[in-house]
Amino acid sequence: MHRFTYVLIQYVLFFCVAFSVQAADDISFIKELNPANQLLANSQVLDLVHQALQKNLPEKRIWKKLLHYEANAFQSVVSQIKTADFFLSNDGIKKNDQELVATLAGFFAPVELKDKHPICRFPARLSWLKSQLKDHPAWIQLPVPTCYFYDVYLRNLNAESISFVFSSYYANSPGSAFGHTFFRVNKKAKVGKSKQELLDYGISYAAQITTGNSLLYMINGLTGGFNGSYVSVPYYYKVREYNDYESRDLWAYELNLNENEVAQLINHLWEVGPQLFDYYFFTQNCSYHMLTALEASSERISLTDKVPLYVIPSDSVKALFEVPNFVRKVEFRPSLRKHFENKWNLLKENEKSDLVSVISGDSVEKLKKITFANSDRKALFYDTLIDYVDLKDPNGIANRKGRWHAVKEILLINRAEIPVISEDLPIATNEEDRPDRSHPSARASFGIGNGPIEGVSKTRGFFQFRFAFHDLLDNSLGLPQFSQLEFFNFKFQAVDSQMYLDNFSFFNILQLNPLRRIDPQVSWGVDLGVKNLSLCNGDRSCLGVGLQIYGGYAAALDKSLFWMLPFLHYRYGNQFSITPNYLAVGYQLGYLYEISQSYKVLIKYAKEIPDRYETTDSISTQLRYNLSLRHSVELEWQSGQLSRVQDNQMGKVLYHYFF
Amino acid sequence: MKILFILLTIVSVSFAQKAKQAAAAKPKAYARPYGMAGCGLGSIVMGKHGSQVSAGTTNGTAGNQTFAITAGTSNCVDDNAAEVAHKMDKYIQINKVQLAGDVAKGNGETIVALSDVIGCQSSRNLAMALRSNYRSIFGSDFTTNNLTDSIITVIQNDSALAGECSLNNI
Repeated sequence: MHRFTYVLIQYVLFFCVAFSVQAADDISFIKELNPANQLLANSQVLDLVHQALQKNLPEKRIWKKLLHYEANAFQSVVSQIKTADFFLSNDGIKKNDQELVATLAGFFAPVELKDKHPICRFPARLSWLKSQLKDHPAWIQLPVPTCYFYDVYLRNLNAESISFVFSSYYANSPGSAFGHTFFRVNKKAKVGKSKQELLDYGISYAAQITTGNSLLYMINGLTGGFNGSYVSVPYYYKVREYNDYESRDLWAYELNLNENEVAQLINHLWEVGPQLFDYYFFTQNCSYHMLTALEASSERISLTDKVPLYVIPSDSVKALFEVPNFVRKVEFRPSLRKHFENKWNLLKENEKSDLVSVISGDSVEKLKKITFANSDRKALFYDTLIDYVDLKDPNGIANRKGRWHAVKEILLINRAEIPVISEDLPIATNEEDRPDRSHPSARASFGIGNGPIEGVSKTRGFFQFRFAFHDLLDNSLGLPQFSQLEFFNFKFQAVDSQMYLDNFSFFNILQLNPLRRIDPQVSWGVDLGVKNLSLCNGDRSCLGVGLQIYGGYAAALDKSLFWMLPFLHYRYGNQFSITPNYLAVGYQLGYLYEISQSYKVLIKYAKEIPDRYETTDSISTQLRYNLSLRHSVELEWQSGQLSRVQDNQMGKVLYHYFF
Repeated sequence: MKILFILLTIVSVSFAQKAKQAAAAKPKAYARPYGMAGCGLGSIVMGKHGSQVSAGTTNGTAGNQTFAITAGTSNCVDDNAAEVAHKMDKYIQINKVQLAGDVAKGNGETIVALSDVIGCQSSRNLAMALRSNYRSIFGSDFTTNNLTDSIITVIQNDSALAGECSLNNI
């Protein structure tokens, strides 16, 4: 208020002497666009500016959202946009009031500027300012520049509604482990024709990757080393990329925006499209900037306050449901893998055997020897095989090289000669897979337990905090089954009035892929962080930093999953008794029994053979009861060394709270 | 005079027949306002770490992709007046693998969307015509321009389709 009063006095003084003093330095903050003269010469425009300041428009929420002013890490309010081009005033990156004055002035710049005219470049700002300063006589003087590219943009989009799209989890790539979100701009359907989703536009915020080096990619992504910007491509790009190439499901949440809000979102994306932001993988990522774009489009939309500082894509989807009536409908576009499995399940047993035989060895030769019951069965067989080949080698297929590409060429030529037209085989939406149905991403846990130390029974307290995301015992609704993805997981123990760190995982990933008939995949895991080991001659705090890497196989039977995962374990601990470098090989046998999403049992046995330390046989049994998506209770019994189970067993009960 | 006129007519008609046959043998090259490179289309990166959907696109960096290029408002304008061949090129460049599959099967979302791009009344007839010409369209040269030209040629050689699909700007 204090600062504004100062500014207001400054402006009032200026306006009072405007006609007598050609003091260009008073409004020198307005960039060289020739509006300075416009402003000085035009009393109506001056009054428009005066009104805007009187109404305190620079401080309004929408103005700040349109300019992306937010408190940064140092708590000063600065625009998140880095490129100077976005601002019409010299210090617009910080000064919301100067930027507003410069914007209003800029609208009255000469039409010769054409596409560079502020009216063409900032349609969302214009629309909002007009609505806030309705019926002001100055608007009559507003020039009408030809905005060729803006018009083409609007025509390309032909927007009717907007959908918020989520592409599902992709464990193979760290940047995609949490999923990805982007907008789909739904085109108005042509009269008498059905909607062609492929021809809609997908607008997404992403990092501009400038390195092929994996380590640099990770460091830059986490610390703001990349710029971020919006990209707009026909939706078929997204379908090919996510559905086909990466075989990920797409969930589209159609938003209940009115015509003005849709227009304003499109306008605002045009304003920020050419600009650069910072990109931070955890905080200012794809999801965060979809929410900021939505917030700039309408007074009633408030979303960034409904997600924590660390914006996880599925959390941004859930935030949509916290604005009343914001989601109109949910659409599911299954991945290529789901299409393949759908067709595979329609094949008869002998057809399945034939397919398995064709894909090994000389496929083309084998194909010639297969007989089919009729053309329809032949067509289905070929369609299934075509999907398989696309899944097997998406890179080779796209680049037209390799064995599978050669096979596919033959498949398609043959298929074109089968006199059967493939009908669409719809795949039902499984509501349980909806990403907005998953449990909250953070978890805090409290528990008590009991276990001996040197023969004396001790009560222990447990406290755990996990920033994200999910483990095998959690409720898997809306999440991939048999997948564990944990980031920043802290486990503390309190005993004898002392608190110790039991484990800290920077990340702990486990991908269990049950063996299947076609293309069985390995199961794998990585756990990187700090662990408390019993290698320090009885010291209760004995920390080692390092990792554990698993690779093996899993098999599913009804509600049970079994796995056998050999592993390599390395930790460095300068307090270790024999050598600070702990290196071990071993294997884990696991058994997961899912009675339902509410009741699960997990039993793990591990044999670990270190280089210089004692071999260990350890076991743990966990019983989990997930009361709801937010509350769970767990009973655990474990022993770190079965040969001396009396000395090191532990029983505990834990309460988990998801938030 | 009359005989000369009839002779001329016969000669010109026979030339026209020959030209049509030649077109069926090798696709005619149709006009485009500018090449794909002008669109920046060939250098769009999809996915992380430069995973590519379409062959021959990029060497993996997205640093120079502006919103104007991706929104189709830089050199490469999605004007209604832009040649149909050019519109088809843009679509086929990214969708050609899926398109070949759908054409072989005689049906699919990718064909239906293509018929929308071309401006055909319905996609069924287009799908049937493309399928019976599968080999000649997809069998040899898989470059985008050639695929587009082949498809346009198929449409123009089929009188029913030619009426159904508005290839006005060809």
